[in-house]
Amino acid sequence: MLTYLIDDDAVSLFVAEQTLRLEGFMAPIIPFVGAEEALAYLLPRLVSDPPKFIFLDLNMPVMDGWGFLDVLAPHAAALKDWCRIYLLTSSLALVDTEKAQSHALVHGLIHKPLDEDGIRAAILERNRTAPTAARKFIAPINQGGA
Amino acid sequence: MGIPADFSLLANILEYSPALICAVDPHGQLQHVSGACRHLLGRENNQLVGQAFADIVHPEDRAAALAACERAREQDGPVRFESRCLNPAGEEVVLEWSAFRPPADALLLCIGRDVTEQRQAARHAREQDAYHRAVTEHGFDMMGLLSEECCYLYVGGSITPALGYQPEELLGRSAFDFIHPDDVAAVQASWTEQSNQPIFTVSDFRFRAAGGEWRWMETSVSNQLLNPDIRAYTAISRDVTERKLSSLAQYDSEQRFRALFDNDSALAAFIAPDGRILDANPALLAYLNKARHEVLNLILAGFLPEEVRTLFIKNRDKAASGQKTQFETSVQFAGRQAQTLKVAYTPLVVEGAVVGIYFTVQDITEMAAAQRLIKQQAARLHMVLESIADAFLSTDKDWNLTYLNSEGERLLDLRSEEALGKNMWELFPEEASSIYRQKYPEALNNGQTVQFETYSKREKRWFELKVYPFAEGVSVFFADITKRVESDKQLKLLALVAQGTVNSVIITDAQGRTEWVNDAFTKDTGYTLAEMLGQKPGAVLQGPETDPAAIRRFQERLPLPKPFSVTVLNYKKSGQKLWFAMDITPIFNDAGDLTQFIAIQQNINFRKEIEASQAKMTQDLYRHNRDLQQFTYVISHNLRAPLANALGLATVLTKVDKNTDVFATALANLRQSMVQADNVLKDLNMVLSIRDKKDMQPLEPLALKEVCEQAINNMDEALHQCGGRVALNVEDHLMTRGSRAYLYSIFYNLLSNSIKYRSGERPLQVDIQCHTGTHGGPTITFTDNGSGFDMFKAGSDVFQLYKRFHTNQRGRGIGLFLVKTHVEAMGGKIEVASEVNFGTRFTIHLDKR
Repeated sequence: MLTYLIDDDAVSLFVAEQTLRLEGFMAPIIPFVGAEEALAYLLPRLVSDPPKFIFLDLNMPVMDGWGFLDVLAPHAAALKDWCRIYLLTSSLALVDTEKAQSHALVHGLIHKPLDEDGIRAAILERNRTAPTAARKFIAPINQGGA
Repeated sequence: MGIPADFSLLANILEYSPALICAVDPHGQLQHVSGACRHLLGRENNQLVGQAFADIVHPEDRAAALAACERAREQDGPVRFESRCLNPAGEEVVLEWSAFRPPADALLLCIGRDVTEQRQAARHAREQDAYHRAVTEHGFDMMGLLSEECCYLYVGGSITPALGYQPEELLGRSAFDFIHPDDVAAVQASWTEQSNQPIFTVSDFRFRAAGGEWRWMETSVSNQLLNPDIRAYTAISRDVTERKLSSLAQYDSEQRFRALFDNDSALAAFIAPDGRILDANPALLAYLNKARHEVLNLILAGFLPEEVRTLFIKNRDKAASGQKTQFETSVQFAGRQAQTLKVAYTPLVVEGAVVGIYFTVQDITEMAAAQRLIKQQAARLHMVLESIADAFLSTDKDWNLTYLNSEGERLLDLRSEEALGKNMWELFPEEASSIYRQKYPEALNNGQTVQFETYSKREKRWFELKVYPFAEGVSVFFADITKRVESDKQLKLLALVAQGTVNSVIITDAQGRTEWVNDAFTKDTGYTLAEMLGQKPGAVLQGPETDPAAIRRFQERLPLPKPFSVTVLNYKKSGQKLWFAMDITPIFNDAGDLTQFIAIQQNINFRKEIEASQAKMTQDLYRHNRDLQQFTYVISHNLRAPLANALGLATVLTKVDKNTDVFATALANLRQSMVQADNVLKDLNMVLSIRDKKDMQPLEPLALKEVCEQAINNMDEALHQCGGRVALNVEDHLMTRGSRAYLYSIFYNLLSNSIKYRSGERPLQVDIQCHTGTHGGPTITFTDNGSGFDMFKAGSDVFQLYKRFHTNQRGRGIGLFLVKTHVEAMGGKIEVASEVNFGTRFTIHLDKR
C-alpha cells in the first residue's frame, strides 16, 4: 500500500514514518517536505501509480495542505476510489476539523502524533468497502478531535 | 194821322231818325213814339202810344227817369239823363235821353240816343282795368314792362308778396341785375335769339328776392316795342321755385335710380308681374352673358338653371301679389362654380296694383363662405370655451350675461339658457353689492385685466376670478379654489409648525428647487432662505465625502410617488460635516401631478459621532478578536506541533531497539522538539508583553537616523558576510515619537529578513529612505532586491505569526509579525509590495513626534 507523507516538519515526518513501520506498513512510504514537491511527484503518477494513502500536514509554508487539496480537486474522480487522503495536523482548532469533514477528497482528520489507533482506523476504514471487511472495526476517524 | 204836309218832313224825320223820339203827356203817357222804337225796343210805335213812358225804362232806372222828366217839365232847357230799356230779347239797351218841354206845350219831348255800345265799351274797359289791377296786384304772376335795354319801366304789384320788393325799388334797374349769375348767360341767349318774335319764353332763371334768396322764375315776354300805346317789352313772370325744385329733385332721383340700376354691382332687373323682363342692368346682363335686346320681354326664370326656376317663380308670384320676398339659394350655372345668391323681389305698387317687380340678386358666395367660417369659428370658440377647465362667462357692458360655459353652469348652479341675457346683478342679487360690483367695472373702465379671489356665500365656495375687458363687455374666467384656499390655510398652519420645529425643513418644487427653508435649517446649515431659493439642496449641501450610494438612493426614490428616508452626509456653509436623516415626502395636487417635495431632516451629527465611535470600537474588538483567534491557532498549531512530535517520539522510543539508529534519531528529535516548544513559549511571551505594554510604553522623541544607523551597525557582520550594502537616506532632524526598542526592532527585523531572503543571483542591495510623508509624520521606505514573494499567494498572511513563504530558508515566521506589532504599537501603519525575484518594499508611516 503505497503511502505518501507530506509535512514540512522533519521530526513529524520521522515520527509518522516510524509509527507506520512499527504498525507493519511494508509498502513504500514516501516522505515529502512540502506540498509542491509532493504534487510534482504525484501528478504524473495519478493514473499509473497512485498512492493508497496520503497523510497530509495542513500547516506548511508556501503551499499548505488546503492548497494541495485545491490542486487535486480537478482529479477527485480519479482519486476517489483508490486514494485515501488523511489530514495529519497538530492543530486542535475546530475550524480545521469542520472543514475536513465537508471536504470531498478528505477521508479523515488525524491529530498528531500519528499513532497505532489512527493507523488502524484508517486501514480498517479502507477495508470496510471491501467484501471481506470486518464491520466491527468501523469507527469515526476523527474521534479524538478537540 | 192828321199831320199837315209840311209836317211830312217832320213825320219822315220822326219815322227814320236813329234816335227814339217820344212825346209824353203830363200824365206820363206816350203820345208819340218815333220809328226807332222798332230797332231799339223791338216794338211798333202804335203799340207804345198810350203806354206809360216809365214802362219802356228798365225798372231799376224808372224812378230816376221819371224824376228827370219832372225836372224837364218845370225848367227851361233840356234835362239829360240815361236809362236802360229792355228790348224784346230782354237785352238792355242804354239810351241817353235829352228831355225838354217846348214852350206853351203840355207835351214833354224825350229824345233817346242809343249809347248801349259806348256804355258797354266803357263798362268793359272799366271792368278790364279792375280785373287787370286785381290780377297784377293779387295774382301770382308778376308783370313788368321792360325797356329795350331791359330796364324796368313798370312793375306789377304782386312783386311785393312774391319777392318782397316795392315796385319802385326795381324801376329803372336792369332785370339782369337780379338774375343769378349762373343763369344770366342762358337768359341772355334765349332773349337775343327770340326778341324779334312777338311772344317768347326765356329759359327759367333764378331771381334774387328782396331777402337775398334765389327764386326760380318762369317768364314769358311779349315784344310791344312797336305798339305805340306800350313801346316796351311786357314780361310776365311766375315763381316756379317749388315746381322747379321738385322737378329737379325728381330728375335727380330718376338719375340716381338709373345710376344705381345701371351701376349697381348687384344684378337687377325690372320685370313685369308676369315675369317678363322690362329692363335689366348691365351687371345682370353681364352675369347672364346677354345683350339687353336678348333678354327684354323674356321670362327671367328662363335664364336660370332648371333646378332653381320653380323657387324663383314661386317668389316672383308672391311679389306679384304685392308681397316683398327675399331668399338665398345656391345656383350652379353650367361651367361655373356654385354660387350662393341672395335674391329679392320687390313689388312696385301704384295705387294698389302691382305694376312691376324690382328684382335684385347679390352674389353672397364669399359672404356665405365667410359666414360659414364665422359660424365654424364660433362653434370652435364655443368648443374651446366649453372645453376649458375653468368656468367662463361673459357679459356685455350692461352686465347682461352673454355666455356661460358648462363648467360655469356647474359652479354657479345655473342653466345657460335660462341665464343668458339676464343682468348679472339680478342673477346674483346677493353679490350686487359685493366685490364683484367693484371689480367688474374696474376691468371694464380701466381696460385692464383684474384678478381677485372671493368667497361666494351663495355657492359656499372660494372663487378665483380673472376679469378681462373686451370691446363688448367683460369675459370672466373663474375657478373653484376652495380646496386650494383650504389647503393654503393648512399650509399656513403647517408652515407655523415647520417654522417652529427644531428639525430642518426644506420645501422644493417638483424639479427639486428650493422654495422655502425654515429657521432650523438655517441654524443647522448656515444657509439662509435667500441663499437656498431656487437651488437644489443636494448641490449646495453635498460634499466630497457624501456617500455616492446615498445620492443614488435619492435619485432612484425621488421619481417614485412615495415618501422615503435617507441618511446623508452634508456640509454646512462653514464646511463642517453635518449628518442629516431626511424624510422626504412628495406632494401631489388633486390631478395627481407632483407639485412639491417636503424634506424634514434631523441633525444626527451626535448620533453619527456615537455610531462612528461604536464602529471604531467594533473594529477594534473585531481586530482583537481576530488576533485572539490567531493566537489560539498559533498556540494550537505551533505550540502543539513540537509537543505532538514529542509524544509520537516517546511512543517510538518505547518500541524500537535502543541500539538502532532510529532510536538515536528519535531521541535527538525529541530534544529538538522540546527546544522548539520552548522557543514558541518564549515568542508568545514576547508578543504578549508587547501588547500588554502597548498603552504603558513611555513614548519618547526618537531621531530616526540614529536608531536606523544603530540597527545597521549591529547587522554589519552579517551584511559583510553576504556582501550586502545598505544605502540610508534620512531627512535631517526627522523625528518620531515612540519606543526606541520597537523602532530598533523594526529596522533590525527588516534587515534580517532582507539578508535571510536575499537573491542568490545578485549581491544584496538595501535602500532605506526616511522623509516627511503626506500625513505629516515620517514615512520610511525599506527596499531590497531580494527573492521577493508572490503577493497573490501570500495575501493577508504576510505579517502573521509563524507564516513563512520560503521553504529553502529556515525561519520561524515571527520577524514580520513583530515588525507589524511594533509599528502598530507606535500608532503607525505598514504596507508591503513584493515581486518574486525582484525584491520587496516595505512602507511604514509613523506618527510625527
